[in-house]
Amino acid sequence: MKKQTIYAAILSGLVMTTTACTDNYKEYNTNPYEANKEQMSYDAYNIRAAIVGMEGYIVPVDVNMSQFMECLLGGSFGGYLADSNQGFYGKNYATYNPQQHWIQVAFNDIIPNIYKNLAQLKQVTDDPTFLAVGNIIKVAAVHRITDIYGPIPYSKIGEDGKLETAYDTQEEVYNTMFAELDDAINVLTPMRTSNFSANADKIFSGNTEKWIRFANSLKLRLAMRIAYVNVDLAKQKAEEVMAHEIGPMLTNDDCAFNNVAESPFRVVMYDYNGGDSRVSADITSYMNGYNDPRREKYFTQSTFTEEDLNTQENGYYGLRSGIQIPTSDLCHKYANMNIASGPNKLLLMNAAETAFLRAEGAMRGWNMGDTAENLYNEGIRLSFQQWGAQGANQYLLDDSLKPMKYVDLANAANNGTDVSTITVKWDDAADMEQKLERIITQKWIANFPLGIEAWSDYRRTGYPMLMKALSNLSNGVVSTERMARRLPYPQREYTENTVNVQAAVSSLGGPDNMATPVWWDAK
Amino acid sequence: MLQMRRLLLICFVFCLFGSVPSFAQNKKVTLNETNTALVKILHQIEKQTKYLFVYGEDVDINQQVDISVNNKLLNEVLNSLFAGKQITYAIDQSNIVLSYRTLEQIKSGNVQGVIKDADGEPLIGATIRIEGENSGTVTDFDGRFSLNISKITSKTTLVIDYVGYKEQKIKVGNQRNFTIVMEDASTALTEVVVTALGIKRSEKALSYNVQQVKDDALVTNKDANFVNSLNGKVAGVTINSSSSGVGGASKVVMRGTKSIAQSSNALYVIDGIPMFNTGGSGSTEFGSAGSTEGIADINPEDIENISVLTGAAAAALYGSNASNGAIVITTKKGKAGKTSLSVSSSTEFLTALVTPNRQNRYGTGDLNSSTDVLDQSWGHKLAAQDRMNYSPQDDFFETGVVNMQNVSLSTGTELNQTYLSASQVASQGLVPNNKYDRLNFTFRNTTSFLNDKMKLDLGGSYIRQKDQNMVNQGIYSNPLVESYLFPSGDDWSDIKMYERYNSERRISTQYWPQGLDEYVGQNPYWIAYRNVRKNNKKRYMFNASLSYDVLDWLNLAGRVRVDNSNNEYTTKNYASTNTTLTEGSDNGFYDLVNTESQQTYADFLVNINKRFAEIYTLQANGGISYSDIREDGTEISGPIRADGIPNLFNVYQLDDNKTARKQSGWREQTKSMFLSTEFGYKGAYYLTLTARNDWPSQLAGPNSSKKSFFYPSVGTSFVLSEIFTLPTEIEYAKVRASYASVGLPFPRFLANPTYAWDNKNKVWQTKSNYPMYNLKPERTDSYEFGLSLRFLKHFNLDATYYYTKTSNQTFDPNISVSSGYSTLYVQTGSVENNGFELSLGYQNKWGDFAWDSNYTLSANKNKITELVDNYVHPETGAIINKDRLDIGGLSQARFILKKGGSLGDLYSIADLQRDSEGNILVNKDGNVNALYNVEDIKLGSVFPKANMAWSNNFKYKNVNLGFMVSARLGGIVYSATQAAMDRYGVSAESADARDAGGVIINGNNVIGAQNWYGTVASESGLPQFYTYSATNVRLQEAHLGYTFGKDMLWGVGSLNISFVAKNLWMIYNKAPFDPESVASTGNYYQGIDNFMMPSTRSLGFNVRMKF
Repeated sequence: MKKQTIYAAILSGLVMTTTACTDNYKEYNTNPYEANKEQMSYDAYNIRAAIVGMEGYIVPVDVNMSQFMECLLGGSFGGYLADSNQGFYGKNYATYNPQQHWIQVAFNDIIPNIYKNLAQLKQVTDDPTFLAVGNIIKVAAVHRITDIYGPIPYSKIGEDGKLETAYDTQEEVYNTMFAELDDAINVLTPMRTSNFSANADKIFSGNTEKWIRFANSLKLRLAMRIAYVNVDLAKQKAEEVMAHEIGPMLTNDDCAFNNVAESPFRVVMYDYNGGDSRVSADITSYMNGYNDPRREKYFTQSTFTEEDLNTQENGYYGLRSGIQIPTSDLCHKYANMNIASGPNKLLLMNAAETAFLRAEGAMRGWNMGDTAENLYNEGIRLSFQQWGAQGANQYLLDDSLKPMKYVDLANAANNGTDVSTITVKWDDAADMEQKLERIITQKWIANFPLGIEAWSDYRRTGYPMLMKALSNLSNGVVSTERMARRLPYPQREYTENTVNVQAAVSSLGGPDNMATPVWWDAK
Repeated sequence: MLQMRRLLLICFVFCLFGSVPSFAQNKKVTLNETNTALVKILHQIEKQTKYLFVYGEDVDINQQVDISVNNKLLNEVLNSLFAGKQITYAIDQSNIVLSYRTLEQIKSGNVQGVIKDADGEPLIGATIRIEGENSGTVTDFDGRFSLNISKITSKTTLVIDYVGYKEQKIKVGNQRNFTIVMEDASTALTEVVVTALGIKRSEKALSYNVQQVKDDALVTNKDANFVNSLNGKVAGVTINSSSSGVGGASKVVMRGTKSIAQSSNALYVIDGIPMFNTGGSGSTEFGSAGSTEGIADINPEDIENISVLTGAAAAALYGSNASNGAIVITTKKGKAGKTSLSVSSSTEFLTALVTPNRQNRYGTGDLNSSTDVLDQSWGHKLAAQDRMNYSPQDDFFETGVVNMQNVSLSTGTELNQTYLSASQVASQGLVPNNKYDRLNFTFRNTTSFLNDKMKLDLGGSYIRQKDQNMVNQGIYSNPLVESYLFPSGDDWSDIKMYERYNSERRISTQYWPQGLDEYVGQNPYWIAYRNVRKNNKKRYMFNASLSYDVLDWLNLAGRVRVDNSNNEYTTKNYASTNTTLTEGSDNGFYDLVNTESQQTYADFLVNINKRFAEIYTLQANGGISYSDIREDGTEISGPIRADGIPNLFNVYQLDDNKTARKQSGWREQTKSMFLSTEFGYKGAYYLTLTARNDWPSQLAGPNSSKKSFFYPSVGTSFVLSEIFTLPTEIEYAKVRASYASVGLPFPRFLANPTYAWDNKNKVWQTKSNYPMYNLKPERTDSYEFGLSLRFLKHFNLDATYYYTKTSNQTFDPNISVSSGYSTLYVQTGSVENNGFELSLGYQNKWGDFAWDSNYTLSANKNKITELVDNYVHPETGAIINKDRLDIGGLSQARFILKKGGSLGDLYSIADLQRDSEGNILVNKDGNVNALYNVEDIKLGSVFPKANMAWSNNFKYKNVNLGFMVSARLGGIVYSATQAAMDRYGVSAESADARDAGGVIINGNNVIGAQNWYGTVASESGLPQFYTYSATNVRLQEAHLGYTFGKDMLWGVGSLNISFVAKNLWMIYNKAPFDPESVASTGNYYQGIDNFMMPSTRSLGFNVRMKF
């Protein structure tokens, strides 16, 4: 039996060496170049990460998302940008025939990125300031999504760990957003002077008061959005903003910008194939007509050769949207966005917009703390100041300059007709519709390049008047006159959240396509 | 507690068999037969002893004999059995070799001769003696010997011994001059098979399918990645060679794709040790970087033979990854007693095999457009004299050249043998400036000590491998896009000068007037020469093994293998490259990736080989193993700063804001205990049991519920020809059955989640997956049944039926964002594969003419039996059901997994708008509309229904001719390339449609060609219009060679010259590309052509010399 004992001993030894040494396994099975849960808690990093992470999805910092949402979608429908990649023709928003994977981006990419961070935030802190800021960011990001699609999953997301949750109607989404903003404002107001860490906030560097102003401004924006569908609530909410002790953004110091290492617009409009987008002929025609001093801040000049130009000179000539896209060599001669490489500020919302929102409210007879005229003029001044442009006072007094008819120097087939005769100078005697057009037109110029907001205003008010698509490839779905009213839901919702998306579609009041108006689109 | 009991059981098994004393080796036989066919008596002897008879065709085994012995020693029985017959025997280990002898008797004389190996090389120092006597001699430097024999009887036998070769016994008879060819011991008989852990086992005992491939099958028609040479030679294996070209990674799947999310690729094993196959799977969709793989580094000339174990049972001892099957490589060793030098050189020329058809009669432009269009070919019809007749094959592709050289030296004494080799591969591909180069140096030394009881085997290799501009498919930096879509009306010679000197910048900048922005268009030559991707690998491998025979039935062995490599990958995009690819820089872009990978494997084995009571055998191998794999990489990439120097590529030059720094690394360690025992009874009944327990590091972490898992296998084999008396036409028959259950850990880090860096927001980002807990390993259960037959003297047949089920898979099904998360991991899902493998061989010889033929057939059916059915989420308790999982694909062509479907099912998620009767709707503009939100339309499966191959080798004297025809039946492929070419109006089809005035649909509606293709070919095409049958038949290999023997070359050496060809002739194929080519070795990109590099036809010659 001696032998067996030896073998058994050897074997037991082997067993010991094998099994005993799994102590380091957890270390081996840890990604060495990522942060673990404990490290995430150092210096409240997890709070900072959640907030900074969310901030990057209000207006997406990611270039791909930005291209899909801000350039191809918002840029085209908001009249700010035109597609300049010939290969996009026929499958772009501008021709009302966008590619499938384009239409899903806002829905599939923004929502989970906001909610996962918010969930982490709620998990790691019960500090009311952070939670309030988190909710403001949520509204700032997600109201853009409901404005694009209509009903969306909102209040029930994450409920009971469910994988499929029901959609809220857009009215419900708006009501919830108002409630969330009100709650955040109420929580933050008593703490207006106690700032939080600048490392947790790339927008306002932890300035609580500015967050309150941002929340109020958003509330004002949302209130105005529902002016044609629930004017009483709109008025109530707008007046609440003005009655609040801190109120909305008033100066350019209050503007919301995200500080980024590189503007995604720069990448899309310069880097991708030498620019996949150019400035739209819509905005250049308006600003050329008004001889707008902000042009040199917004745009670069065209770079046509003498041959192309005949007798004219290069200037701020945008490219028309919704046309058969020319070759890239030609496209790239049109005016581009004037945006430098390197660290930059990405606009989320500015004070000028607040002034115009208030002007519209005042025009509607709401108590906005000043007259429509003053607020309108203030909006223009704020915008000029924001861009460092001179001559605002002269500009706002002009009552003769009108938007130009667009002339395409390279292809007369793309020339525009007269779209609008609206002038800059406030006219208190004008009818309400004219006042509205004046306000929205100037707001639109000041809001550049917030395309999705411009598209929402366009759908809500019909202003600014934009040139129609020359190529409408929607096969009769989208009316060239009315333009696109929303985007259809992504296919994934139909396969993974079938019942709920069908319920949402039935509440739309029309088919799930680009022609059906959303709830607030009721003028 | 359960674990503990298993360990005790293992201990018990060891102890039990350790205690039985050893037996004498003399076997006794009892026979009582009259007038019986000798062959039956041989079978009886085989049953009563462990020996197996081996005999040549000149031995008359059907003669009638009488014998009556009772419990006599085997030697005595054999002596009396063959007395007076023209048969002599020799016992060699477990075999008894029967040879023919003449009965003539001569009294005395001098015999002389020459001893050679199978290649005709003389063997120096071989011993020749007379059986039963001590006198003898050794061969001289020419392999010659001379021996005086005083008395030659009919029994006088020469015994020739030479280490590393089978001992030979030759009856002297009346012959005086001998030319004796010695057979290599390792390949002499196919009765012994190398199986798991490098353990040699009798073929009779195997309960699973093992197929052998010999070195000449690899070197006759050499491939830079030897894996491709296995194609068609082994049943049950699907090898898709990579579109990355020479040296590219190959997708090797055995018995069907098993896993939803993990790799289904086969495991490689070198000299009994698993090798983690480093290397990328190849880009998909946008990227175009092809990739090589770790296994491609192996010098095919260093391979002695390959065993392919197609099932999981075969490989239960290699650990988890072997559930996908294993390719077991045995490398060459030095041979004792003789020195041989062999030199080989081969040169092959490559051309594209299948390329899409282009049109040349419609010019550049777009007649429907108001604006200039420079990148499309919907222009005017060109007069014959205006046609440019550009073709990518003739004008862009170059003739590829692959040069391979090898020198190997084998030398040694009886106690110490050495093998050395050096080889070089230098090649250039179809695309200009594409290269793959490799240098291999290999060393191996085997030493015996302590009276042959201890063996030390040391080996090492050093590999330098470089490749440049490997392109597999895709959009970015893929010159095929521009060369395929190049407008028909334009002059290719204009863009051949791809750069022009810019005197202001003092650099040359890109010339590319065509645009093609949609595809990030660039001059294809610029891509080839100025978007340079280089890979530079240095790899060394070292292995040592020490084995000691403690007793004649007990052996202890320990082995260690280290395999480390350093890889540097760079991308240099020169100034004026499309700014999409330079992140906006006008000065260029630089990417530097350094990767270090380390693999260490060690094991300790106890091997027992015993025989009890003459009729029972036990072979047991047990031990422990340790495997540690690490990879670590850093990457710095970014645009060259605006104020930097153009085209100066280093990290100082990179833009401060845009430079991306990446660091990645992982480590996987597995410790295992295993035991394999094989019980044999009468050499006819075998039972094999294996058990293994793995402790993988992937299971460590708070989310995992297990630390280790256990997996067993059981197999039996019955040698029917030993048990029953079969018709004499059947020489050998065996049936086998086995079951194995293999565990597989879920992917690393899942059990222990951390937070990743988000470079866009510059923040450590929050997890976006649903929380997960209680993770469990995946499991594959497999069953197989097989039959092996050798019949009618020349035929052999191997047939296997198998069934596997892989369950409890970890994957992330798509979820609605309404959950608040973007991913969710579930552990469910079950995939079944079943099918059969068949190989039928024929071998015969008629004088100087020999024919050797082999046919393989395999068929597999893949089925998803469960996706997510009533899965209860361990955290939330929510019940999850999914009957559809979109797992990837390209554009509208998606791999969608559904219960009842297969892992290869490709669907279209778009269609043309149709009326209620299914006819395509034509709108008022006379056009058709595409709809992108339709119900899934199944296109088919990309998996083959069956694969077959038929290879033939003919030999007449010194001439050698061989060919192999292979066929794949069933399955579909999809071509986005064809769609793009249609949409850009460069395809032959688009021109034909224009000539015909449009495309006829619904039987009578005519749609303008451009309208039609503008709709069906946009967004990579509506897949149903770009799906093709993947069935194809080809002449896959052919060779014709002539060997000049030593006698023809003044005794210096032998020389073989062969002409070789691969993919010589595509006999049948309906797809616009080679359906067997794949861009990625991943699970879900097979069958998709998105500007994929064409596979190649190669023609070349091979020169081999042996000294």
